[in-house]
Formats: sequence, C-alpha cells, structure tokens
Amino acid sequence: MGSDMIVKIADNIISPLGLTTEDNLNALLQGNSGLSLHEGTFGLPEAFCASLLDRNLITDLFDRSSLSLEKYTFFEKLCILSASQAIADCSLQAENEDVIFIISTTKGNVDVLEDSEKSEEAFPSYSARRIAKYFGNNNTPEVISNACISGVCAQIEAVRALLSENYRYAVVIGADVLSKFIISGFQSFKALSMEPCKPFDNARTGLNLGEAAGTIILERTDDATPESWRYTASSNHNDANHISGPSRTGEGSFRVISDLLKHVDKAETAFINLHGTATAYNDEMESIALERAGLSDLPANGLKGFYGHTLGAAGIIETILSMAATDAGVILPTRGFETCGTSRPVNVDKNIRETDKQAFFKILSGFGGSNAGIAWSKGDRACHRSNDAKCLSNEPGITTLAHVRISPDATILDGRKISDSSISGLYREFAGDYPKFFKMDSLCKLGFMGAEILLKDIPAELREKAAVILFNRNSSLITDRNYQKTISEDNYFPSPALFVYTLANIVTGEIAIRHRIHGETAFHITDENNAGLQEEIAARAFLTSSPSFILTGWVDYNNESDYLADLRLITRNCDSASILKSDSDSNIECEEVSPNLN
Amino acid sequence: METLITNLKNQIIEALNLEDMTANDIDNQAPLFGEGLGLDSIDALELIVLLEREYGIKLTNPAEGKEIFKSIETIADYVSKNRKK
Repeated sequence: MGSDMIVKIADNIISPLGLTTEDNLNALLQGNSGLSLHEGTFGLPEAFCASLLDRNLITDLFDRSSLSLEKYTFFEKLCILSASQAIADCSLQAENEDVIFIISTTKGNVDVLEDSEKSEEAFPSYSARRIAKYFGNNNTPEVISNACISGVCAQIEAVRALLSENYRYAVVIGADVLSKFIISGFQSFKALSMEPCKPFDNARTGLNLGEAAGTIILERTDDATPESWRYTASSNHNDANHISGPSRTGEGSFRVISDLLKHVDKAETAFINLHGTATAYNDEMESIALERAGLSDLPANGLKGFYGHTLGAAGIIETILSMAATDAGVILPTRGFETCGTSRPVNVDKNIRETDKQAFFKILSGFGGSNAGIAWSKGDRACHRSNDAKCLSNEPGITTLAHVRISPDATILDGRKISDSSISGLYREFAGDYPKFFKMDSLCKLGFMGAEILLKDIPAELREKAAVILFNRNSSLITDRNYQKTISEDNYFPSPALFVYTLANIVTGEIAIRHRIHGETAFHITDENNAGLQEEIAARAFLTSSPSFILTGWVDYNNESDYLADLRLITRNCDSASILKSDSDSNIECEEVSPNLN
Repeated sequence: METLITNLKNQIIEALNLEDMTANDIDNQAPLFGEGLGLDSIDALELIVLLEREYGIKLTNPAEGKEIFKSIETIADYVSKNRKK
C-alpha cells in the first residue's frame, strides 16, 4: 500500500436548476428552487410537488451532442450527458482499462415496466453497461442500489476500487428519473408534501421528490495539491431497527458521524450536509444523532428545499455542491427552514453563512435502515485506510468461513445437502420464530433464509460488527412487477407494503434487523453471477472499514422454480481463527452430496 | 356486523400476508398493533389502502388511522358508519 490519495478531478450536475455545477451553485446562492406543483403529470390521479427536468431540453441536448446510433432511454441519456461534461472537463481517456464506471441509482429505468416488452431495459446493470460502452469502456461497471444512501455508497465504492489499485480513475454517476411508479409509491407512504419542503422546520409536512444527475470523477494519485478535494474518511452503518422507519435513537447515523469524527476534527469542519428530507421522523432522527455525536452546534445544512430528494443522485450532487460552496467560502442555506422543529437543536440556517474551513461531512440515511457518510477535505490530511487493509496485502488475504447455496433443487451448506425444501419450508426447518418472514417479498425471504443458516451459530458480538454486501441481476424485479399491477389505470390502489420491497437493498435491512447487525449494508446489481468478482468487491470493504466478517454473495429471485442464494461468510485471514472457533459447534444435520452441486 | 367483521378479518389476513392465520385466530377486541397481531407502520398504511379499495373510505391523514385501527371492532365500527361501497 503506497501513500496514494484519492482526489476529485472533475464534476457535473444536471438538474432543473442548471446544466453545470457552476449554474447549480449560482442558482442556490440566488435562492432558486426547482420545486413546483404538478397536476396530471405521469398520469397520476393526485397532484404532487417535485423538481422535474425538462425532458425535451435534455433529449435535444443529447441528440445534438451524441454521435451514437444506439437508442437510449431518458435515464441513460441523462447519465451520459452528465458524465460527458465531467469527462471533457478533466480530459479523461474514459475508454482506458484503468477507468471504472460506478452508477448510483435506486430504480434506473423502472418506468419501462409499463411496457412489458422492454423488460431488459429495466435491469440497471444493462443500462450501466450501455453507459460505459458509450464512452468505449469495456470494464464491468458497478451499480450501487442502496436506496437513499446510494450516492454516498457509490463514492465509497469508488474509493475502495481505486485503493485496491485495480483502477486509477472512477467515474461515479448518480441519477434517478421520476415516474408514476416512484411517485405513487411515496404517495402511498403518505410521505410527500404538497408544498416545497421545509427541512428541520417546525411546520415541515414531508418530502418532495426531484430529478437530477451528478457525476464526480476520482483519481488515485501520489501528487495531490493542497487545493485538491481529497477523500478523507467514510462509514456505513445499519440501524438494525426497521425497513422503512428511521431509528428513534439515530443509531446508525450516530455511528457514521462518530466514525468520521475519528479522522476529521469538529474544529476543522466547515459544516455537515445532512439528509434533511423534511419528514417528521428523518429530521428528528438526524437531530438526535447529531446531539449524541456532540455536533448540535456544528453548522449544518440540507438541500432538499432546492432539489427535492433526488434519490440515487442525492449523495452525488449534494457532495459536489458542498465542495463548490466551500470553494466559494460559503455554507449553503437550508431553503424552507424558519424555526427549529426537532426535539434537539440543529445548527441550520435559511441564510448563506461564510466559512474559511476546508472540510465537510456528507451523510445520508434511507430505507433498509441504511446510513452512510463521507468526509472530504482540502489541505494535507491523509486518506484514511483501515489497519485491516494490511491483512489483504498477504495473498490470499481472505478466508471463506461458511457457504450456503439455496436453489429449488436443494439447500447445500459447506458442500453437504441439508434440505430439499422450498424457501417457506426452510423457514419452518431452520427458523420458525419470526412471523415477519411471511410479510417479506420472495427476494427477502430467500436472502433471509441464507443468512439464517449461515449466521445461526455466530455470536452476537461478532454479528453486530459484520457487513452485509449482496449482489444480483434482477434487483427487485418481481416485486416491481407486482407493485406495477397496483397502479394500473383501471385499478389504482398503490400498495405501500409492496412498494417498500421495490428496493433491492431491503433484503440487507431484513437480515440486519434479524441478526442485530449494525455494520455496513450494501446492495450491488450486476448482469452476471461471478462469485470471484463479488468476493473481490466485498473484500474491498476491509480497505476502509473493519467489519468482523462479511456476509456476501448472490441472492436473486425470478420465480418459484428459478431462484438462487449463493452466500458466503468471508473474513480476513488474521481474523478467521476467532470466528472459526465460535462457529465450530454447528448443529445443523446434513448429508454428503456430490461436489458438483456445490 | 358479523359478516362485516369476518370479511374484514379475511381481507386483513390477505392484505398483510398473515400466513397460517384464519379469521377465528383474530380476537375482535385485541389490539392490532404492538402486541396482539404485532402490526407495524407499513401495515397501517396498507390498511388505509384496504379501506379505500374495499369500502371507498379515503383517509388522507395517516394519524386518523391510529384510533380507527385499534382493533377489529373499532375498524368495523368505523367502516359501517363511513363506507361508500
């Protein structure tokens, strides 16, 4: 491991407020917002307040600049336009082998489900490959789909990919486009405000949604100048509390902030950019987490009053704007805030404040109980690497502690067949005491049972510090289709219980809740089940964090005769002895099977 | 009222995926949330959808649900007074 730094070399934001980062910053400094009331849009029976892109403008811009003959969806065009500008700004040779594309999105092209013939386009990994290919890049792109925290997770993933020394540059694109699907779901959650949102305000009435794309390009270099924005620290913790409601104690968010404070002093930090969705529960939770971490008086802000919640783009564009504002010597205002409406104080302001400090924190929280944060700074601060990274430099640095494979044919644990039951049958055999299982969608049931079998004999103190990093191809496609049926024109009753499971990362949240796992939870979407690549990506978590072990692998559900959970517990060689010892008294009955089933 | 209560129980079992339960397992007076059936906030939202779909009752403020969804009996009482279909 050298003394390399990870620095930001270019960025772009495309939003209703502008087509460049500079235009967006200026719009915010002038107090402009993209939020307005929309009636009849996307065929929705109820009006909604959101910040929507001008689709004709974006399409025209794309058509004028693109030389490609391929037909791209609106989501893909938006990603390509944003990335094109950032790539041009730093003259990156994006086709080179040392460049990786990482896409942050919650739902990608989900609107194509309305047209059942186009189902391939609904796969985010399919879009990601097309986006990377547009730039001539043949590396397998990564897709991070981790609900609202995706944009920060994608930056963390990029940092790890660069620290692994497999790549020198990472093009990180965050985007989501709104549709009947997404807006009806949030409406069914009664989470939307009909007026521009008011983060942390006494009179806040809920969130607004928004559309945007942001691109941030990172480089691994040993030649960072004090003027460069450098990655400084990051963290990801699950609440292990509820799949849609924030923790009442702000547990995950508190742990994230505490981790960041280990590497950047409060006194050196200009501000913390919060999630600030303007729902009663999120803002209250963040106020509690800040107080617990001793940051109630640190200047803070939230940008949802300008853009709404831009989902997969939020973590990217809010990071870029925090950098641009700090460069301009200001802390951006919290539009919509008047009077503090949280039980604990939060130092937000409706006015622009000045700062001469050179570091900030960006945090997010989201469905699945997920929380993540990243610290960026200028000057000479070192990039935080986990001490555990040293373990990885001794090949092979990773040990597999246990392996389970669940398919319609059989369930196999460490090469031995333990059952040929269906997923519900496995529940009766190996769990049976968790009625919430029946409320889960099929993807969650499958992942839940894989975790149940693997984690059965792992002590609670090791589980608490574990990470859950899962992969699949279909994302939540089956539940997406089921939810789509509840929003048809002739039978429009959007189901909140289905909508919450249209986020693939909910399976990581269900596992975290069941096993009280407070470590990292993340979900990646990829078009092929490559166990080696999954293990390589998951093990990179040890470069920036110290999980006790990682539950990782493939969990994908198509229908009752086509599903697969292929999950492993992995750890660093230097940790494996203590875990293996506690895992040795497994009491699951099993029978030998031929190796080819494993 | 008896028919309404039985219908409600069956509709709730189906909408909330309460596998392995029958209408007879649900006590008319028992609390639905917290203890009792152990329903949570997402279930409450799903019950709001159920009232609209099956009985034409539109609850715009989820806080109203708190009183209505106390037990099967309170739901049946509210539905019988407010149903549009």
